[in-house]
Amino acid sequence: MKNDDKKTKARRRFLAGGLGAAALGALAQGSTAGRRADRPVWQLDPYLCSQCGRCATECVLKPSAVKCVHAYAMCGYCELCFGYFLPGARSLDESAENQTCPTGAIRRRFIEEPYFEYVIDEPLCIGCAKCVTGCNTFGNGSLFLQVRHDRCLNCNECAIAAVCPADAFVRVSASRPYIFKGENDSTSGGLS
Amino acid sequence: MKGLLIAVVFLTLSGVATAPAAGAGRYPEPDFESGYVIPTATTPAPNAPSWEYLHLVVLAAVLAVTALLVLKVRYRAGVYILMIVSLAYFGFWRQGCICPVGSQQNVILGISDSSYTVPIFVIGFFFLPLVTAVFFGRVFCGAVCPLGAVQDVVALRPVRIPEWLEHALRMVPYVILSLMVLFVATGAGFIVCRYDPFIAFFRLSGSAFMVTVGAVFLIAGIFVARPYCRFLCPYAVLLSWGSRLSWLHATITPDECVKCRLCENACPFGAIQKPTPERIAEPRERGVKRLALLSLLLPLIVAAGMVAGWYAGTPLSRAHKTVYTAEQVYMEEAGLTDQTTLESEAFAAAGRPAADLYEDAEQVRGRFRRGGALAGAFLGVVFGMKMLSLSIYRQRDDYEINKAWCLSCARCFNYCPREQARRSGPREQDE
Amino acid sequence: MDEGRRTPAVVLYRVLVVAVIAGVLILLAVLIFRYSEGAHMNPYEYSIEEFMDVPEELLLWDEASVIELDIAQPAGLAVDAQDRIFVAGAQEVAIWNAEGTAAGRFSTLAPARTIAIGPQGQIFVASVDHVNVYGPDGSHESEWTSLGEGAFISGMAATDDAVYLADAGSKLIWRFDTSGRLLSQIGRPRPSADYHGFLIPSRCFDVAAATDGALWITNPGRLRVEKYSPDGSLDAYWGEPSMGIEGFCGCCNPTHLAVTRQGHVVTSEKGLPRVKVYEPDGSLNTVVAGPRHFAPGTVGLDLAADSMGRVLVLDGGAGLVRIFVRRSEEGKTP
Repeated sequence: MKNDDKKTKARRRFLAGGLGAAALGALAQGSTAGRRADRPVWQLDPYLCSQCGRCATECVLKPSAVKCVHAYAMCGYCELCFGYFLPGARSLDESAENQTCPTGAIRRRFIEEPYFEYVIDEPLCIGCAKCVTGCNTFGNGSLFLQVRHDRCLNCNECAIAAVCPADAFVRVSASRPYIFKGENDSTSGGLS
Repeated sequence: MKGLLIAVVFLTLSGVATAPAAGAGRYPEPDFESGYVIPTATTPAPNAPSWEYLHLVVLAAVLAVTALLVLKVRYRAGVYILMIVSLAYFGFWRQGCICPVGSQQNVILGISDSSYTVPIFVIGFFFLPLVTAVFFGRVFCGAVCPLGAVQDVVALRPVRIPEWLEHALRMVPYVILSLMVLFVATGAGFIVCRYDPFIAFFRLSGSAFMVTVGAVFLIAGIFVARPYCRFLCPYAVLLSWGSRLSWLHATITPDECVKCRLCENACPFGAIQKPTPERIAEPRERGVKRLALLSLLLPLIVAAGMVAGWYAGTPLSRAHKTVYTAEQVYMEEAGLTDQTTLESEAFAAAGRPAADLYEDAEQVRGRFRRGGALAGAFLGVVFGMKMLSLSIYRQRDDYEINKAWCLSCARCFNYCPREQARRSGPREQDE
Repeated sequence: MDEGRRTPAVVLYRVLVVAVIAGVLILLAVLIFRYSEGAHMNPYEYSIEEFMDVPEELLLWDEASVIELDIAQPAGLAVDAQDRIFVAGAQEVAIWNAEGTAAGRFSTLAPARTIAIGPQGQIFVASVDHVNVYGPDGSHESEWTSLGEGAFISGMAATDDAVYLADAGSKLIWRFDTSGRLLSQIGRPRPSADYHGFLIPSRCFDVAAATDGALWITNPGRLRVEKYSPDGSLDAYWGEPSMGIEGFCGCCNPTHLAVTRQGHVVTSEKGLPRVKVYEPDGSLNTVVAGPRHFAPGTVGLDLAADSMGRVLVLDGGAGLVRIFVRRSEEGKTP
């Protein structure tokens, strides 16, 4: 046992260097952490999003924690909405084959002539961004994707961020966890 | 920072199309006459940070209790129950991040990327098990880590792996550790999280591929006890360093070894070292000569590692998004492929010149080469030291625990007759 | 299972163990490069591919020439009686003669949204909420009063006696005389007369004046074009919501208008960027340029038609004025 102790001491000295370096690094880190200790969460910047469909396929959750969000204030409330209707829809009625959304998660409600409201039924939304492309192409771009934090597990490395082709995923502060479109035309939401 | 810059540029561009004048207000609002009020989208909040501190407190508590159970009470059933509790809490209930294994990457990112600040509780998750290891050995592995626990539960028919293979495979975590540091420091991502084989089980959700990998690990784990912990886990490297230095460490016997051989096959992880057989001492000069030769060889191995790492950097850099996007864009521009990818499409949509991307990619490649050389040097040192340590003869009289490999699971205690005596001792006195 | 007891079962175990471990390592290696190899399809792609092509028999215009623009944020295009070409941008107005050679430029007081040329050669340059008037030589003549807080001028037309401003913000056409005195407004909803005005879901709204004094105004929310008299009465309208070539699609099309000397109405659209010529009765005459002619996502194609029957398209994103001529073998010009 004594023999072992001696060896241990020698090894301890040898390895103390490595461990010390790691501790030093973390200490330096800790001192900067004090400045801005807020917890980071994942969010995607809708202005960078390229609607590639990976939010629907890559999230560890099924369905994805990314959902479509509607900035109603940007919406034209049109009767003919290409976020809602497929391009080339046979007829403009609300049957499923005419809808852009593969899961029928957009609900269309008549408000008054000639306005219609479009609401995302979040439990049905899979975050595929198909409607987002439609809305961006033909409409005002009021539909966009966001990580919904009531679902997001906040993985240490977001599986979508790892493969997002537009690098639209960013870590944002948990106190400002959304980057919404159309908020006072100021664009950087949680980015700044 | 770069992302932010791109964002700003893009926003300015898109602003030209849709919102040319600041202060011009919103899009024209419809004139609703029915009293309709324009709603706003909901913004459900993330979990409060206090949850993370609760997890940290639980982690500290479980570590402390495990250390007590392993070192003082010496009670395997207790360790096992605690392990199940940890599995339920950290694995199935908490469902994942952040875990100490993954937190290493956050710490590295915090050092390599000045724009990222590691939250304090993440630092806590990283250091608590390490500090515990320095004092009490790898009790984190024994009963706290959910990845270890799920493998421990299925380790039903462990086979003994030949010593040479055990030693060889135990080098793999050093490779993973180097790759992990390389990938984080070059901005290629958190590979340890990306390829975590068990998280899909905890969440009961995940990619089919990772579920398959996890299943393979669990099935293999029936015969090869804790394969991930022993042959892959990069955090185990740091813990084993800590554990080697440990102030107190679990011992097979509560007092003295009687060399009864009963514990010889007790450890499914190959962490029990037998007494060395009596052998004729080799001539001193021969040993010195061999040691000198190996010491001379060490710098050569390190240099070879550096060179290999430098050249491995370029192919490894293909795992970085910027590099594979640049390669794709280049192939398309050069007419080598007419197949576009989602990456090249997104790049085209962003409207940046391809030359910028190529330059970024070249920088990333450079980082990979330099980092690869460093990683290669580190691996050279590790392999060299391993050779050195294997070639040095150490006299061992008792059955001893290999502190670096021991997971503090307390399995071996029950095999020791001295332990049995200790347990029955007080009872006899009572009677 | 003692060392050295090499029963077949032990050997089998060992082989199995090595195989499993090797397999796992190979799997992991493959995995690391998974994303540089494949998985590049978007299963949820929103495709407008089938509407990108225009029937050849309708596509009877050729891009004869282009003018490369060297001004920041070109937003408005106009042609005067001598077919000179005016483009207004963030800081200046640039002028070319009909052949496309530079014929001068002058700087403006405010970023331009749209531009129109008056009967005496005055240059009306509209910003978000007001108009600046410049002389034919580019000297500043006057600044009209603002249309107010919510105004967003996106289109303008000038006739001999009036200037019409299309204000997407207040969803009205403002009619001024050429000296800047407000004469009237067009488009105030009159529910009692079952007239609901203009539906403007986004900042796209345009007006064009025909030589006979008639006004053509977009009603983008209803995907149609409306014809008004200068006094503000709605005379006619046409336009069909459709992704097809004959109709208008999206939530706000057409975005811009121009009227040719012969009275044809030229329209431009966003979403599916395309430029078309309609008869005054709303039937499709020809297609000037289809979606393939423009970059994806092109918006804001301002239009003008000159006395030679050419159609000019301002493609700000590409930094060009595209000049189209009707193919001669057809024997007629619109």
